[in-house]
Amino acid sequence: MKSLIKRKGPFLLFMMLSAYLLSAGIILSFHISPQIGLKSLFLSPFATSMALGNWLNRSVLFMISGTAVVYAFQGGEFNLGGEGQICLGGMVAVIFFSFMTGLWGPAGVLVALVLAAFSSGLLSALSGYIKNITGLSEVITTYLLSMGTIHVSRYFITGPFKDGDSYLVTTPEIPSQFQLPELLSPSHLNISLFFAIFLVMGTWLFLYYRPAGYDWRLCGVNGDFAAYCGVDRHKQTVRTLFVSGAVNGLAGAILIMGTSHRGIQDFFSGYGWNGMAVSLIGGNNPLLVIPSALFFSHLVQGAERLNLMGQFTYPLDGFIMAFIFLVVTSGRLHRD
Amino acid sequence: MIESLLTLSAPLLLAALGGLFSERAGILNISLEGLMLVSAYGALHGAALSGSPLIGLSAGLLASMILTVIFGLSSLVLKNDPFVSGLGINLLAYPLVKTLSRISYGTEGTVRPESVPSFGTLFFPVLALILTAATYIFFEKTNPGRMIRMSGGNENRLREKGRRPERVKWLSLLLGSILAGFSGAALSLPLGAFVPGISAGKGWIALVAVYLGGSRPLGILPAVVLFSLFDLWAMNLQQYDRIPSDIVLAIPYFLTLILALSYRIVKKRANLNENLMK
Amino acid sequence: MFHHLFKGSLAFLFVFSLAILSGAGKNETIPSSVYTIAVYVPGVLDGSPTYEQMDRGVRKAAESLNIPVTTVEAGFNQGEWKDRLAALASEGAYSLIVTSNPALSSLCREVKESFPAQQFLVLDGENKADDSQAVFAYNHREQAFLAGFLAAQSALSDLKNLSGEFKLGLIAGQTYPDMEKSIIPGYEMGMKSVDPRFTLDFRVVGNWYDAAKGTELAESMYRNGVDVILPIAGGANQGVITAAKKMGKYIVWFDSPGTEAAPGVILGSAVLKQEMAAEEMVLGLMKGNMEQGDIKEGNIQNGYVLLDQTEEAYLKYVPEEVQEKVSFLMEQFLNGRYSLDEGV
Repeated sequence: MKSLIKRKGPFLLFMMLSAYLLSAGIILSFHISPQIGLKSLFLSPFATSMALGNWLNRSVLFMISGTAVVYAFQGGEFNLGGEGQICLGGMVAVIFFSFMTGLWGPAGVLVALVLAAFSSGLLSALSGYIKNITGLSEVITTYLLSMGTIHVSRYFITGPFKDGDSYLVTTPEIPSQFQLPELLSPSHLNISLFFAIFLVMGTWLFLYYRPAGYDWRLCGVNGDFAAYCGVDRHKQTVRTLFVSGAVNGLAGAILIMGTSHRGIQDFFSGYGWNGMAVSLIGGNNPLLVIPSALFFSHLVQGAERLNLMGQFTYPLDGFIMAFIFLVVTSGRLHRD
Repeated sequence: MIESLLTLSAPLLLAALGGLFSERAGILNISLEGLMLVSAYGALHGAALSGSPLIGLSAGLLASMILTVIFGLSSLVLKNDPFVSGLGINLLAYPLVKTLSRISYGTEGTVRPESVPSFGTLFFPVLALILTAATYIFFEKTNPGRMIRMSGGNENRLREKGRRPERVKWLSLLLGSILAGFSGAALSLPLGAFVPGISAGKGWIALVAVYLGGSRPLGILPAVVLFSLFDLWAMNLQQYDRIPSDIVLAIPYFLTLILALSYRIVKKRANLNENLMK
Repeated sequence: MFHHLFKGSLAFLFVFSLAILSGAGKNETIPSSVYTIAVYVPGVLDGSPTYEQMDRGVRKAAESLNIPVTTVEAGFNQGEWKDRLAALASEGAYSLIVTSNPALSSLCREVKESFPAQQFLVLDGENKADDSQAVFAYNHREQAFLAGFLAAQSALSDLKNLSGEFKLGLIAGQTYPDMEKSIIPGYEMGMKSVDPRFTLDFRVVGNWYDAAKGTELAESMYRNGVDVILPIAGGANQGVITAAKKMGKYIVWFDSPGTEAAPGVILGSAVLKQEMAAEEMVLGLMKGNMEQGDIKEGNIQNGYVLLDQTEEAYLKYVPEEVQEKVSFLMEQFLNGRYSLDEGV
């Protein structure tokens, strides 16, 4: 483990440093007063307790969606359907709650999590089946299925489950017993923080200390060799994508129960791609997802702040994310 | 009907041909969507500034090529995974276009310059058909075409011949980016406007068309026509109140996959029959 | 292994508590003694005439009283609107937050629960009494009525290339409550007041940007005999213009004067006087003539909703008999001799 962090740690630091330098450079080159610009970018999460809580809460969600990507990459599969899988998980939770209004809170939360994980897992696993049957790459099919799912869930939000009394494009709020207890009101930070840490630790233990995790990673490093060692690659493909999708489904349900509290239009937007960035910055290491998520959500929040204050109206976080994807060199090649 | 089918098919066909070039060089290029987006913007902006559709078209191609150079630097020089690089290009295209349109037109939304010169309605469909034929000839009859195929299939043979596979891959990426550039221009120039999200998944569907077409130009053509036919059908569905628009919008994505699956099953059956005949 | 686990979680807890401490210290912002205004745009300012008008109106009012104004943009993702509004309120730096869009009414109400001292003004807000905000509400039914009236009159006029099939179109980006509760009924009422044989062909693009879809939908509607379309679809409106130009058909515009984009194709515009509303409401609130909880309605009769009869292209291309009927209708409304509730 120590050697792992040693190997990946410098890379993480390098990515963080260059991303911060790049954003600072972009801001300064647009002649924004350094005092206001840099302050907004770096200190905004510490301005109020609400900002702080929202930063941590966003990090929690990034950790979960980042973990989903870690599972996919470690297993040698690309899951570009994060957005749609998070959306599906969230919608499943919303729909389940809308029928189960009288259910005891914790039971409802638990069942919703299972349902969300299962449905998003199936959606993602479908790409695995298609790959096994037709050879069509999961890179394409996860994306297409995700886009299709997003449109269908929009139909649910604007159609049968729409809140008729609201002018927002949204479902009604979920019953209060299913809303996760908050930790730092009025921010969104909630008890899913502990779940995320648990998930990260569990993922690490599974991938590095269980035989099944070893097979998992073997497929990622060298599929042919894994097959030679007796791993059923077709099954492993489906399994990898199922788990990756399921974790995204959890992210979606938690997003609904802890943050947005309703299926509002585009509630899932950005979490899939950001999760992928988080995983890549951390070299797809399950533990490094934590610092990586804290860093990336800090950057996103700073960029948002600059935007909101009308200081820098360009999508700074978008550029930084693209930069990370282009220079990261840790897709298949840098996995251990 | 025929006309809307043609205008609907043109961008998809051009994009699929663009995808074919990198596919043949062994790179599944998922940056098509981003290339279409920047070239759609570049073509419109160029045409509006210069007053000439030809200069606009060139600007679109240039935009697509610049992004492809970045893609090449990332995937071929830095040796990044081509999927991650391609995703990077897509994720770069959106903020890039947003920023450019904000700087030049003061809006992140729709850009509709006062007057945008354009070609005739049939320009892009005809161009797409000509380029399909040209691509066919290029791959079947010319030396560079054969080399590109080799770079995707058998790099060592290329090396034996004293060629560097890297260079051949660069060539195919850049040629593909030109086609993707045409495809983007085919979206914005006839419309006379640029709208964020104008590419609407076409870059990805084009990749499935490449797959369905068996990575052959003449196979891609019917696949694209089939997609466009279903797209037209889905759009006409909307006049019936009972089918909600969001469901109609989801159809192309799922349909694409269903077609891919059924094609595979039919082909497997055919292969099976063939084997039995032997 | 557990050694590292322990170390790691300890480090995390340390950073976490440090962060909470550093945040808690700065939690209370000193309220500014000077009156300041924030304009909160749920979307992007440029290219959105209604928001531009709101910004202009607020600035005009603020300038006359020498008050600083900050404009912030929240982008198009509705899921982020509430958080950004709350972030703005949490600063405690603005005496008044001005925004526009009926959806913002409920968001302001929710944010007010956490920040009870914050004052809000919602233009084009919900027409519902409530202490959490001051509201200016437009009568969208009347606005859509005017659009329907102009569309139907034009379809019966001597304009070129009309099908004579008594079909009018409406293309929406997405369906939303106001669309179903006010705009569609108002539009239908407007066309049926001209001739009850008119029917509505209503389609939805599914988003606010896909112009290509807009073109295809509009083309298929025009082919089916629709003569005039009212597009309320954001960026996809551009696609409707393309289709109308290509097929020689017509459009009526909504919210802001829009005929310039395609003179002769876009016949006229049913507009809102948003700048006027913004200026008056801000002045009223600052001078103490109005307070949180007040609602003012803008309709045809009080001049906030109208069919713009001053646009050059309208005067040039719309047949005179139609113009006469429109100005007669407007007069009837203004005199109070005609209203939607009492019928024709």
